[in-house]
Amino acid sequence: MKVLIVDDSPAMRSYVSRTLQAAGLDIANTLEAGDGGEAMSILDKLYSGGGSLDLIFTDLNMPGVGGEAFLGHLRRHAAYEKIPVLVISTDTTQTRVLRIREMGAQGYISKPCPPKLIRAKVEQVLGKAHG
Amino acid sequence: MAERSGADLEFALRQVLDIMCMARVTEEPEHIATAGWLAMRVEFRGASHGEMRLRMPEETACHLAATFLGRRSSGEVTATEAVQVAGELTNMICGCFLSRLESAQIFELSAPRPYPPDTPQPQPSLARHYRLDKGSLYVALALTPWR
Repeated sequence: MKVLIVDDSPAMRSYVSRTLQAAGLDIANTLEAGDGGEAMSILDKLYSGGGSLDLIFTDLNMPGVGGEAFLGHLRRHAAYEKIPVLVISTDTTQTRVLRIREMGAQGYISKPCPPKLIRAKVEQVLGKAHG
Repeated sequence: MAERSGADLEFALRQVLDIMCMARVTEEPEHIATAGWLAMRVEFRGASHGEMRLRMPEETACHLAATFLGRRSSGEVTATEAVQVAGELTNMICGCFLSRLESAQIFELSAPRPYPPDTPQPQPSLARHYRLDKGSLYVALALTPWR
């Protein structure tokens, strides 16, 4: 499984990456980006070389291209619109969660997030994607 | 309002430290000298606007960062990593607090930034010192920006 983690916090990218590895999920490769713009560059390079992604984690509040703009870009791009996206953010207000779901995110994880919650959400989303 | 904000702030602090760093708040001392501490701040805009500040000794920051990053000891944490984790904790505490305060509103949070801890600070709306099982910290909230 190939995963892209988009967060402007290196500490948070490290936390999610380590949690995925420790959860026993079959992670072949973890890619990281500091904002939505960098994430799009990684995706374009990956897919133009024949690669693909199985899951994206993205934060919302990021300098540069934020999480909502990134999500909108994914959903407008035929090659990327089917990639499951989990939003991971400190913003758990009802309005934001509803908006993100309407934009096509498969799941929402609020920070602070224990490892077992991340693992459960990944299994839930991948189960739906492969089911 | 101040009483409810204080309770929400303490809930957010306890939740973030427990989940991300396995650290417990053990008591609230009257005052701790904070000169020379690592200091981070996050600004927020939305239904309410203002700023949250978090200060802690470097030793506390390294302890918290070690657990956050999955290191065996605080000696394995670099100064840069300690700052990054302190920033992320500030971001999480602020977000958790705001979500409890105004669950139907959307907030925009700035990226966490360090600030000089020894510079004089305007009086915040809310400020607390806490002792942790792994050190101590100070958290302050202003519901209008400090300029």
